[in-house]
Amino acid sequence: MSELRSYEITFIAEPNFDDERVNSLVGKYSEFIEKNGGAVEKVERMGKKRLAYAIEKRQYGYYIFTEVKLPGEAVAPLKRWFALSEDVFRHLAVRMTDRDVRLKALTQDHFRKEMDRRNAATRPGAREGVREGGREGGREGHREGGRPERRED
Amino acid sequence: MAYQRKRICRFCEAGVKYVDYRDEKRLSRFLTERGKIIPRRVSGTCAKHQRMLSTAIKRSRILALLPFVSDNPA
Repeated sequence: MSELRSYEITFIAEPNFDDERVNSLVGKYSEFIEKNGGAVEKVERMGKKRLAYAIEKRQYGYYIFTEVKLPGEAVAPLKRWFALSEDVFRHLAVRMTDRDVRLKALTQDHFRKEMDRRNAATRPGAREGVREGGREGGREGHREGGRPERRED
Repeated sequence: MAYQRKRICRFCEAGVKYVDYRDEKRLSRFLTERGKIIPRRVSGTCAKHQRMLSTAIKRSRILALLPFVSDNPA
């Protein structure tokens, strides 16, 4: 058995799919992955989104993002499976090296903290509150500390 | 494309280690109205991040999250 590698696989299904059809598609997809010796680790339904350009006259697509462990030689059959599928009209498989995985997690973590900090410090209430509280405090500090003499002139 | 002076890499500034191809909103800031990738001499992005950025944009385009070309800029 060959080594399992991490992949991020995103595919775009027909936009008119309801939950039931999406479920069935995800089910079939997972089944295919597992049959080929892989495992689906995460499924994220990004939902119906507008396409940046028309694909075979479609303006919208139903986006499904998955994180998967898969032996390398199973990728080609998977891509063929997508190509033959009538439900999926676009897919992207990205190999994630350990480094990629680590850096991505790091970045996401960083942003989560950043957002938390902003939400805590900057965002409560409307913009007005932010400006009065945060910025003025900062400015006053600088001016009083740095240039008292010039002001007196 | 009236951009100001060259400044520090926005990704370095923000502490980004990995540029995600699914984050089309963030990526779209590095495209011209036409959909071209803004060169780093203009955006000021460092070489390392520009490499990641261009890969991410190209992946994003495959997923139709970003345009290859755009005639009517949004």
